[in-house]
Amino acid sequence: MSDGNRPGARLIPGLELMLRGHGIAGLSVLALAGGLLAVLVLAFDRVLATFTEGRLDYWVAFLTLLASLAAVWGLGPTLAGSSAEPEAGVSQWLTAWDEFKKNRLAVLGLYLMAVLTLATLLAPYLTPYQPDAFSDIAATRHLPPSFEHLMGTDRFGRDVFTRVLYGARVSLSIGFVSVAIAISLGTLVGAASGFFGGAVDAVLMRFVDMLISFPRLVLLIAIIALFEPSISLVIIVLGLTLWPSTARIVRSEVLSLREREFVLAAHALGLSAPRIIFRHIVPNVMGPVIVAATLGIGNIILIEAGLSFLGMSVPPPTASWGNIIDGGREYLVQAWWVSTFPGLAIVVTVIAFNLIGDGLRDAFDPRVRVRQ
Amino acid sequence: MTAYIVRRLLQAIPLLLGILTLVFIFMHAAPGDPTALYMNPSIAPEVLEQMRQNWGLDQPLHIQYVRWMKSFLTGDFGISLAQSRPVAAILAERIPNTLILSGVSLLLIFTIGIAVGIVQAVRQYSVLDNALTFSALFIYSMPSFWLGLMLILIFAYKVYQVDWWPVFLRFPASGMTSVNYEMLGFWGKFGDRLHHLVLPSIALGVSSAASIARYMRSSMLDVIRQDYIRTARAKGLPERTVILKHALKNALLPIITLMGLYLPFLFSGAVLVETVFAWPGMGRTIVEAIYQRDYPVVMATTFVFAVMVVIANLIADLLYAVVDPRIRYE
Repeated sequence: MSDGNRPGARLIPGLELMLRGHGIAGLSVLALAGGLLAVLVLAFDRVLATFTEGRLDYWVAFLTLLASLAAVWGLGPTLAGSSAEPEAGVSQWLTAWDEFKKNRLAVLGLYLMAVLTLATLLAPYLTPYQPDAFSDIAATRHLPPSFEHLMGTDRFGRDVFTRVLYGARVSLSIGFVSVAIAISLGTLVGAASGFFGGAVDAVLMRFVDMLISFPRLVLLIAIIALFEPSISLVIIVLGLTLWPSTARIVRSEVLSLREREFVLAAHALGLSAPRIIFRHIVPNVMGPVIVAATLGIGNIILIEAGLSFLGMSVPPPTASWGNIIDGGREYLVQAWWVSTFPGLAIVVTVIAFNLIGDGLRDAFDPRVRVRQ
Repeated sequence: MTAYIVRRLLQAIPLLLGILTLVFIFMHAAPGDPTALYMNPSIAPEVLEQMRQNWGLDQPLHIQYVRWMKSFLTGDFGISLAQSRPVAAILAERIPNTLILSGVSLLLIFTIGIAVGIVQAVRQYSVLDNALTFSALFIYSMPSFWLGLMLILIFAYKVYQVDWWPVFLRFPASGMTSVNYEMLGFWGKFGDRLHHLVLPSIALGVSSAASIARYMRSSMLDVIRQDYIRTARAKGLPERTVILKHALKNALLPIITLMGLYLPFLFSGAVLVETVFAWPGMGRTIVEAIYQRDYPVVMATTFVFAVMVVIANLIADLLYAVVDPRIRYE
């Protein structure tokens, strides 16, 4: 703790980390802080406009900016300090987090995700344009990337960078919400199937087999085609069709947990089945479930992009990554930038979630820990 | 072995019936019925009523279900609303095209994936291994339809402006054959088709190849650590023989089961890739049918896709039973 108390080290975010030998980590925190300050300075008039405009997303952006500045200045000491104290009984979550922190790629994924999330929340400060505003189409149509339009403009003269930023909101929220639905349903079905066994198991698993036999995208478009596409419909349909893989994972975990002594003890105490499932079994399968959820978000973002590309998800004036790509498809040769940049945004986001997911899988897996 | 095959075939029957039932439920979950398409002031309500009777829509649900099941199982998928011809005839044209595209893609996936996986396992933790792992991560996270567009942009457009770029590496942007296809000789036709297959099959397969490489790497690493490999090396066999003859055979076993897993994934991708490359397969058929609200085609295509997945899983399972004599199926 000798160099941790240098008073000057706390003034510059990340410096403390760098002094302790975490050079790259420190630099990343510093870069984040620099970026946030740059937003504050460069977009100062828009930050001020928050108080006069009275729009909800300006306020969200304002609070995010304040909170993240505070977090960045506080982050250095907390990150460096948490594993310093020797702990007697460490929970599985803490061990996993310690394991996770050692995995550089996984931390990179987490960092990417943090930056992306911040960017979507700060969107109104990051760009002077509105996602669906266009003025003089003849003059602003298909402008190549420049400092005014970082990613160029599309066929209506709308700024692509702005649309990618606002599209991130749609893609990420669809990803998070539908994964939440799919994971809860999958855990519930898998736990019931594994715990009760017998006929319940047979029926549920045959149903899972059936759902898994449909190519995902085909199943999704066949269902969505029956209704008018909208964001809420897509979220619900994605949530209701993507649970079977989670159910299979949870079921196989529960099958082995069911025979363990603590579950026998719970039975002997006369606890009810729901109580045993939710209080004793489900907490023990959370590891694999969280891994499945993280990898699932990346997957759902890819699927949703495909659906939007086909025009079966978010209806057009609203931007989503898939429908921006679709909009640029016809003019691919004249204006390559319209389709290229949203695709890169998808790649970066999915990489981030895959890195985090892989890191979590290793962190929760005791076999990997022994080998190191 | 025969008993296993028969049992496995019998298991597929209830699965198919279940799939059929699900498709029926989807079809009837649609708001309104097929006659809604024709509903407009110039058509008398009596005519619509007559249509309902002709299509059997006035029957109770369970009668409709049985009749519908019977016709689907005999390959009668009804009449396409948009093209006014039997759905079965449309599908008969489209299924082979999708099979060609997915087949070539599957071949590509397994050849590239396995080769890369072996190289990575043999050179574990080398710069090459790390570079390949990282690029696999990148490729794996790409949406196939976007990759398709980028391939078109580069290899079917930009390279036409580069003089020194070899002509056979300038690819067509869409379709299955060139305009002058009919005038070509046998090999010309063959080459033309192959030329049209390159970009779509790469767009469709490359992300799965990246993930196969990952499985292959870890499977190979598991095998290399085993005793019999050490014995082979101790006998003084060249490393090449040890890896390609002794280790490869066992390392490939878990990869075979993946084939069944990747096919549904490939078919999902085919829906997008066929749309991007204007490939006249089932994926494009279902997308077009949805735009035209042609439900009979949508449902029949969905069903055929699911049947193909079930068959592929069956083949993968049987293949696994054939190649791995250590597993006994009684």
